[in-house]
Amino acid sequence: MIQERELIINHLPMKTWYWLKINDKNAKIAVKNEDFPAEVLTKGGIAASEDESFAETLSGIETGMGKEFEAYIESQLYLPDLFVAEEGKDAELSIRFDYDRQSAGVAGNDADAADDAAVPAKGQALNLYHVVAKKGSNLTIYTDHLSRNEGTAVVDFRILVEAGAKVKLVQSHRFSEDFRFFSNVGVKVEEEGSFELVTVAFSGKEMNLALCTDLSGDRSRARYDIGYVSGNASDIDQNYLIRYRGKDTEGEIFSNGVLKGTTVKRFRGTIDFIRGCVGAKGAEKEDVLLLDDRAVNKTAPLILCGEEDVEGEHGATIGKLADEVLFYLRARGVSEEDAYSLIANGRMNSVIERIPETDLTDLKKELKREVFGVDEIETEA
Amino acid sequence: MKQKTQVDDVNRSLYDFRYGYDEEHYYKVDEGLTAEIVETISKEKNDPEWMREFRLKSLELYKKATVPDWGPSLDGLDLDHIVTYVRPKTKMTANWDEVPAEIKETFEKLGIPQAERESLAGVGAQYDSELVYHNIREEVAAQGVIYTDLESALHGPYAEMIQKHFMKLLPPTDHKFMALHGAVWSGGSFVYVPPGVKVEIPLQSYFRLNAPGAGQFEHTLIIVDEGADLHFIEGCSAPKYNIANLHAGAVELYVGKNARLRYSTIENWSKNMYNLNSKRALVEEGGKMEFVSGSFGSHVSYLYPMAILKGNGARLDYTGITFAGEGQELDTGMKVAHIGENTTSVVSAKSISKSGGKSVFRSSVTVGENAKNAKSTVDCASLMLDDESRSDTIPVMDIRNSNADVGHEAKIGRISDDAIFYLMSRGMSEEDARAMIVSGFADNVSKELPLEYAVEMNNLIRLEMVGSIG
Repeated sequence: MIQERELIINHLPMKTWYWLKINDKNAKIAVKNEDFPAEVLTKGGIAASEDESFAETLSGIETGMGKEFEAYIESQLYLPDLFVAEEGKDAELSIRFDYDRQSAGVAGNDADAADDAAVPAKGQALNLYHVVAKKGSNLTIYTDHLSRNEGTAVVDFRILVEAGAKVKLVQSHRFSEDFRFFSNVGVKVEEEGSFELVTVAFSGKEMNLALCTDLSGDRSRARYDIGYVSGNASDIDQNYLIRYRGKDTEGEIFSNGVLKGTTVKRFRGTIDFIRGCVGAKGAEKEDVLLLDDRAVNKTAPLILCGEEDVEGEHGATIGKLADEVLFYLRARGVSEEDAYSLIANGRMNSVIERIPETDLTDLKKELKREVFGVDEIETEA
Repeated sequence: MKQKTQVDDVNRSLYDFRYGYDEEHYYKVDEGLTAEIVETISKEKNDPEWMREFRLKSLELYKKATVPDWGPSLDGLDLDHIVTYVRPKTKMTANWDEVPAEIKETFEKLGIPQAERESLAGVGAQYDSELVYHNIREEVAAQGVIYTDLESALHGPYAEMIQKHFMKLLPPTDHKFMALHGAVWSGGSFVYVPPGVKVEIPLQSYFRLNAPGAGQFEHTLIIVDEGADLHFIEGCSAPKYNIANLHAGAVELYVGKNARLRYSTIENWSKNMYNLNSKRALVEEGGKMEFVSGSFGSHVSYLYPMAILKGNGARLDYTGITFAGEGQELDTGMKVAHIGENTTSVVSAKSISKSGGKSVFRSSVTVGENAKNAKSTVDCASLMLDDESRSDTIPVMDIRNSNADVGHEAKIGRISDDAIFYLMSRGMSEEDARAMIVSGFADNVSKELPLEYAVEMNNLIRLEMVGSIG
């Protein structure tokens, strides 16, 4: 059954003038209220689990899309899939969502659901995941969302990073100009744990991307690397937050974007120093290249600070290539158009390079092909 | 072990003199806001008919508009009991000796006549809702510069010009407090600088709010014609009362082709003041608007001067500092709209938070579709002096042009131990080192402020913020 809901998502943590139309987004979601049969692969010390003891903690983690969306997720009729990485072990988890698939036959879901959810061209999908990285574990999660057709998908992750554990979440979003996508993530990092996000996104009619990390433990870390290339008429709405709660916590947000055609993009990036996070350091940086005069770029990089002993900074560059960069390339015979393409590809590649090498999935290679159109590119890691 | 050095609040006792507010010597309208009150104000002011209608239309807008929910709380502001119009029972004069002794004493204590004698081209002083003193130097008047109160100008040779510009940049539809302003505005100045005239020394206006529970809604309209040049200084202070006071003034600035206007403000309202002032400039081709803004006083401030860079090559320079101490929530910043080609905006904002004070830097930079080669740089830095305070930065950029070059940088932090160590290793005490760093932090902004012209600014910035450390 398809449910249609209208939700206010991606709230700016502190409102500003309404006329800027960036305080939040009014989104319409129409998806099947059931699990889409994703292709799930695991390696090392990780397994699906039915342990209910984590449910309350995971459901209570703050996410990027906000309370209204969280309540919507809570109201779903089925439980999230839970994966637990074993204490002190290395582990990998790959979840591939090929929304264009006409038939099922995938691991990790029961056959009936898979048959029923064999997604047609106008597919709808909603998937919920809970992940726990137990103490000292080292987990990489690869998520690959792919569609060349029309459709809507929602994916929601809640991740608990226990003391000393490391989690890297790789998100690949490759969509047609007709696909609508909602990615919502909430992460809680305990003492000396670390969380890293790598997001590579292409096109899509509507991309709503949100992530909130709560650095609750002392000396915990977070880093986001986000790269995206819009379609010719995309609507990209982002809300990224890091809450610094523990002492000596560190977190950084880096975002690189290329906007084409009549795309409208809103980036909200917040580093929030909560009183008591003595010695915390935070930074955010956003670079956006506009390739078309019709594109609209809205950026709101917030620093919220209730603690004296912190260091926070943010920076943004928006618009054209710097004159000296353009001059350098033109002087070497590169046309202006090629110069923009070169720089845009280079920026995307720098994000892709943060994806680890693995034999579990060819995702990194596929993303390079998406950018450069060829299989092998020699680059420095 | 880290030691903290005390940085004192800005001492406002100098401005907290009231000389026994005596209702017998003042005319004021009833509390709250009704059409009858607006009609009364209009009649008192001998408004032309269009202005009377304008006030009544604004009142309707005010009733419909909602109080903003995106900034500091305005719960303490009881609009039903704010007195919108208070005037001393005296006529405006150009002779300082004729100003009533009590009012004169207040202004003299603030150093206004002294500042005028020394270095100002003209001074306008407003006490509560009315201008009580207005004067302009002969040589400046001889250049054709008009500096007068707005209400007299409404009936003079510039009436048409005022009607053409009044509340066009800041229409009553802008927000609730602009609608309120449109309905009950009173006092304020009109300045016109003819084409090509460069006013060598600054003009100053001074606002003071003495009546408890009253609002001040002065309107300043400045037109700097083609190729002209003006520096205008605005200073504000109010004594401390327990009943919340409201300041919702409006400043409309028209900067002509290749003209330059510098508008410097020191806001030093007492801590019961809700300062909801609006300022907006329209800058024509090759024109330059400079805002220099210091926000020290008030309980709550919403203050975001805006420049609309309409003409090709127009430019905005904004330099601001905000000091939020105990009980203060100062939400300040700026807005700029790039519309013309090759327009430039350069913004440098600093803030200091201490003793539980909260400062917010809020900004918007919009670059329109036709603003080819627009350039904008926004730089803001915040200093936290203790962990009871807050400092938030909320900038937004809305860019709709691929040829734009927009940069933004912000930093927040405390005084670095390394810097203290560096200075101490060269023989300074820790206290002196901290004082020097805070002084340096504020100095690149305060250097822009015309300290030599206004005694109040000297008192505030030099003595209190820099000198009281340790």
